[in-house]
Order: sequence, then C-alpha cells, then structure tokens
Amino acid sequence: MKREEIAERVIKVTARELNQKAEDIKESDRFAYELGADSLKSIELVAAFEEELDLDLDEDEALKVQTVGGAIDFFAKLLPE
Amino acid sequence: MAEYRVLTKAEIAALEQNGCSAESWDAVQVVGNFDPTRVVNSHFSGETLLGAFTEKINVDGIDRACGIYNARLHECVVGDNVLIDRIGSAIINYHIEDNVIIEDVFMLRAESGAQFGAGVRVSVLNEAGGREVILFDDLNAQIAYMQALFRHDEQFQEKLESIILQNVDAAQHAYGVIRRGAAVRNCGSIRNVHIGEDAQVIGAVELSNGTLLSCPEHPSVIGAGATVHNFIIAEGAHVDGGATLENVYVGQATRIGNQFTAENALFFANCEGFNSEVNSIFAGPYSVTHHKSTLLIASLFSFYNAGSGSNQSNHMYKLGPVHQGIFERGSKTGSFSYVLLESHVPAFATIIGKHLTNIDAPNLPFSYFVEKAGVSYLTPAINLFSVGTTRDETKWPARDRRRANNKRDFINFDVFSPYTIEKMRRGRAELLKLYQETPREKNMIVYGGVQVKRLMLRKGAKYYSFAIDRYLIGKVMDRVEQALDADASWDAVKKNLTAADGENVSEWLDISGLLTLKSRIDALLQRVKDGRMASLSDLMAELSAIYESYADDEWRYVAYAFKSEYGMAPADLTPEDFAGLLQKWLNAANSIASLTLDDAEKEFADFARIGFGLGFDEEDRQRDFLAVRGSTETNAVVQKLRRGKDAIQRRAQKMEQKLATLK
Repeated sequence: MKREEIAERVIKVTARELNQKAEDIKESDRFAYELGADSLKSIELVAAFEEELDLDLDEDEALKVQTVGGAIDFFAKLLPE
Repeated sequence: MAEYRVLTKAEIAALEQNGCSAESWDAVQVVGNFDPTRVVNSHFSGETLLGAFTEKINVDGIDRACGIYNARLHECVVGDNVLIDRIGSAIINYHIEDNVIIEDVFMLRAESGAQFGAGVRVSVLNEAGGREVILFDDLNAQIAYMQALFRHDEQFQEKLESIILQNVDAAQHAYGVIRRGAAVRNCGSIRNVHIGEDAQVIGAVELSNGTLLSCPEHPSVIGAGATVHNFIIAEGAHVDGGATLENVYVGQATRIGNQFTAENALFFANCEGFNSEVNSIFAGPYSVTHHKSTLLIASLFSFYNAGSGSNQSNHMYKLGPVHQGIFERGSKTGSFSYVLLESHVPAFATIIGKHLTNIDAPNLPFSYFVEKAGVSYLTPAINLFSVGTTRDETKWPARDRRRANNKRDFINFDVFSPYTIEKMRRGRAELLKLYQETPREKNMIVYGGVQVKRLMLRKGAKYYSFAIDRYLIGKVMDRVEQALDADASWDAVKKNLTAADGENVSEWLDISGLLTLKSRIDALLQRVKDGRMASLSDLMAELSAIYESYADDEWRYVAYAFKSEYGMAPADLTPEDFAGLLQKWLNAANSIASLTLDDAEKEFADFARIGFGLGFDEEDRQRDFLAVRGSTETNAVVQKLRRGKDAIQRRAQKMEQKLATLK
C-alpha cells in the first residue's frame, strides 16, 4: 500500500477515534500529548488501526509508536506497496 | 482448680478496717494465701470467690499492687493477681481470670443466659432480610458465605443452621468471662461481653452482647470511643477511633476506626474500615474503605478498595431496600462512583463515575467501567495491564497481618487462577461472537447493561487470549522445567504432565476468598444435607481439605483447559509441540509485560509533571519532579517490571536450550 494512502487512512481513523479534525492533524503530533490519547483511547486507536488496515499488531511493537508519522511509517513497513 | 476457704475472723476484721463490707461475709471465699490488706474500700454481694493478690502488675509503666480497690462486686470469681480499681457502678456476674486489670470502668455486667453475641442475625446484602448470617465464635468467611449466598438450597440451609445453632446454644453462659491477661480500662458500660485472653479494652464507650476473641499471639483491641453492640470480634482485630458498630462480625487482623459506622455488616480477615459508613455489607477478606463520604451498602466484596464517596443504591423506592450488589474479588470503585443495584461487577474490575444502569458482566474480569455524560461504557480486559493489578498480586499475601495460630478464613491470593481464567475463556467466546454478529457500521453494542465499543470486542478477546496463554502454557512450562531439572528426558516430562481426570473441573467458585471447584462444594452440600457432616468441626475439616486441594485441582483444570485451547493434553505433547507453544507463551507474556510496563511508565510522562516546580522554570520543574517522584530509572516498581520482562526472555531461551539437549 502506498504511504499516501496509509497516511490518509491513519489520519482518518485518528480523527474519528480522538474526536479531532483530520485537517488539524500533523505527522509530528504525538498521540498521548497533542492529540490527548489516554491509555484507554490509545488501545481503542490501535484496535481501530487493526480493523482499518486488516492487521493483527504486535502489542510490543505498537507501543513504540508515539506519533502520527511514526504510525504511518510503521504500517508502511507492514503493508509494502 | 483453686481450693477456697471461708474468711477467718481476723481477715474479716482486717477487711472491715480497710473500708470493705459484704452482704454476708459467709458468701465470700478465698484461696489459702489470701491477703486482706490488698482489698480496700470494696463491697461484696452474692457468692464471691477471691484469688491470691501477691504480686504487682504494670499499668502505664508503673508497678501497682494487685488487689481490689474501690469496687463493688456481685457474684464474681476473681483469679490470682488481678487488679480491680475504681469501678463506678459494679462488676456483676463475671469470672475474672488471672492477671487481669479492670480500672475506671463504669459497669461490667453479665446476665445469666446471655449469649455474648452468638445467635445475632446479621442482615447482609438484602437489608430487608432473607440472607441473614448467624454469628457464632467460630464463624469464618466461608461459612458466612454459605449462609448468605446458598439460599437456593433450602434443605442445606436448614441443616447448616442446625449445626450453627448447636454452637450458638453452647455459647449461652450463666456468667461473663474475662480471660487471663486482659485489660479493661477507662470504659463506660459493658454488658454481656466475653473478653478474650490478653485483649485490651481501653476507652470503649459502650459494649453489649458480644465476644472479643483474643490470644497471646495476636491480642484484640477495642479502643478509644468505640461503641459496639451485638458483635463477635476476632483475634488481632482493632476497633477504636469512635467507631460505632451494631450487628457486626469483625474478622482477624481487621482494623476499624476514625468515626467509622457499620450496621449489619461482616468484615473478614485483614479488612480496613475508616471514616466511612457501611450497611448490610459482606466484606470478604481484604475489603478496604478509608474515606469520608463513602457509603457501602447491601453488597458483597472481597479484595476490594473503595475510593472516596463510593456509593451504591438499593432502594429504587418500590418494595424497599431489597436490591443487592455483587462485587467480585479485586474490584475497585473510584472517587464518587455510584453503582445502581442490582449489579454484578466482575473480578478485578474498576468502576469510574456514576452508573445508573444495572451492570451484569461476570464473565468480563479485568474490565473498566467508565461513565461519561450519564452513559456507562465497558472496556474489557484492560485491567490485565494495570500496574495496580500487578501490585495487588504481591501486596495481599505480604499484608496478611494475622498472627493467631488458628487462621479462620481460607484465602487463596491468586489473581490468575482457574476461577479468573475460566471466566476469561467464557468472556472471550462471548466477545468474539458479538464481534462477528455486529455490523461494522455499528460503533457501540450493549453488553451486560453497558455500552461496549465494537472495536474493543475483538481487542478484549485478544487480551484475554494473552492472559489465558500465559497462564496455561506457563503452568505447563513450570512442570516441564521441574521434570527436566531432575532428568533431561521427555519421558520424565510426560510423566510430570499427566493429570487426574478432567471431569467437573471447569466450574469454579470464589467462596469469599476460597477458590475451589464447584463439584467440591456440591459434594459438601450433599454431605451436610444427608447428615454425614453434622458438626461444625466436620464442616471446618472439609473446608480445610478443600483449601489444601487447590494445587491439585488447579493442575487438573490446567490440563483440561490446555487440551481445550491447544487440542492436546499436556501429557501428549512432543518436544516440537511444546517448542511451538513456547513461542505463544513468549508472545503473550511479553505483550502483557510490555503493556503493564507502559502503564507504569506513564506515571513519569509529561502530564504527570503538572504542578511540579511551582513558580520556577522548566529545568526546575524537571528537577522537582525527579526529587519527589524519581524516574523510570530509579522507581522500584518500574525496575521490577523491566527485570520481569527480561526474565521472560531468559526463561524462554533457557527452555529452548533445554529442549535442544533432550535425551
């Protein structure tokens, strides 16, 4: 999958799950800080990414992802073009 | 048994010289070496037996001569080296054993035929009655649970009550007893109360109809300002701080104080009750409420922690206060949380907010219940990764304060046990079924009266799988390691993985701290019903045997559940099968450890630093936080979790090496 498509889907899911406007979300935004994801929201967000991209993520690896851009890169590795 | 004699004329004269009088000196008998100079300004009526007062006894650091001073005694037996001084009204109908101190007490009175708290019926769970627990000296958490919760079996209840009433009848006494070494000082009125060995009753306002069990290994205390009516208080319990209790059982090593009030309540071992109010509760072992504004009502708890302002409601203004709550072991309620009864909160759940819906989710342990804008939401399995749960697992056994030789309550501390694992297996199946049945466009579904996010159905199921895999494969791995340490052959492993039959091993009960197979309880019920178990000692012996059988039963359950999960019995595994499962265990254990560590490390994140370094710059804010809270590099819990995570890797590697060198 192309990085642009992954980025679009990651931002769409992030906006929906964290009640943000998609156009306001930047790749540098951290989920736990700028986007206000607490522990519960973080888990729900991972679940939403899994469903959106049809993946079963490794929890340990997923925890290392801190930013929107990091998530896009992480999924890009799992979903090669 | 001491030998008594009548007083000599010289002794009577000496007593009268000391300001003493008697209704009849003929009714006063003494031991051979009785010293009349140790009895001053006192009056005796009824049959009186007095011991030898030859020694001194220490009171508040001062040695005082034993004897009877400034007192009125009616129908009393007084042992050797007792100190009685300044009795406001009288001591009536008490047997006072050796080395007891009684001073500055308004009245101690026992009435013939009193039952001393035995036979009091405590209305737990249902304030309007129907689940009463009868108090008696040897009550424990398990017998109380059977009285309150096994109401479905009328025949069993009749037989159980008959066994209990034998003990209640035996408690009926013609007189009160104050056992050896006890102290009763600075108290108001005490009526029909037995006081146990080495107990300290100091500053109590009013006590009536009760027994204070106590022992030298763990003396009990009723202290400042306590008012307690209709009670049994067990060894090592501590009740003070103006507590007001009525119709209560206070278990071993339980602490109550700071204006706590309780009515119709049972507290078993190691509970704590301060500041709060409780009504009609069954507080199993380790139930804790510390804060003002908390009112716990009509509910069953164990290993429970109440946040400030926790409340439940049992009225609904229909047929009165008839609603009940079940909070399974390990539940926590957050500040100003509210739970509408009836509700059934699963084990190790956390409740946040005000829930105006009836929660009914026993198969989803380790869940969060959060209320937002009046709507209740459930997030399944999330507490599996709470650092609090990890702490609790080690905290409870380390905080078992009971020192009495006879530990009354049978307590299993395991957080992950067949009880919780089987609940998770059922919960997982329910979650996956709901996930498959729910269309993708639907964001939320209703489960057990609360909203669950559709996405969390699958996620919760996955998290339960982690816990199930870690537990089941981990238990098998324990036995593989044990066998390989003794003999590096797979035959030895297979032998160690055999299990007795797997019949009736999937149903488990938590009998207020005692985890056991339902089939064992069914058998116990049957034996009580058909009269094979007809005494309290039979019942206690059976409960003890059930408690001791936990390890064997757990292994039988593991073998059964393992086969159900992975398609083969542990004893049928090949080294290759096991190597595959080892990877599954590693993934599960590692995932749980990582998520738990992440939860702990959040305590050191930027948002946790709010309010630090007040008035100073950013650098000082960081320094202030570091000085007060430390860092992930210095925090003991985080370090322990990191070591634990490393240990998981090492254990898996070591096992792989062992498998590679099999004979």
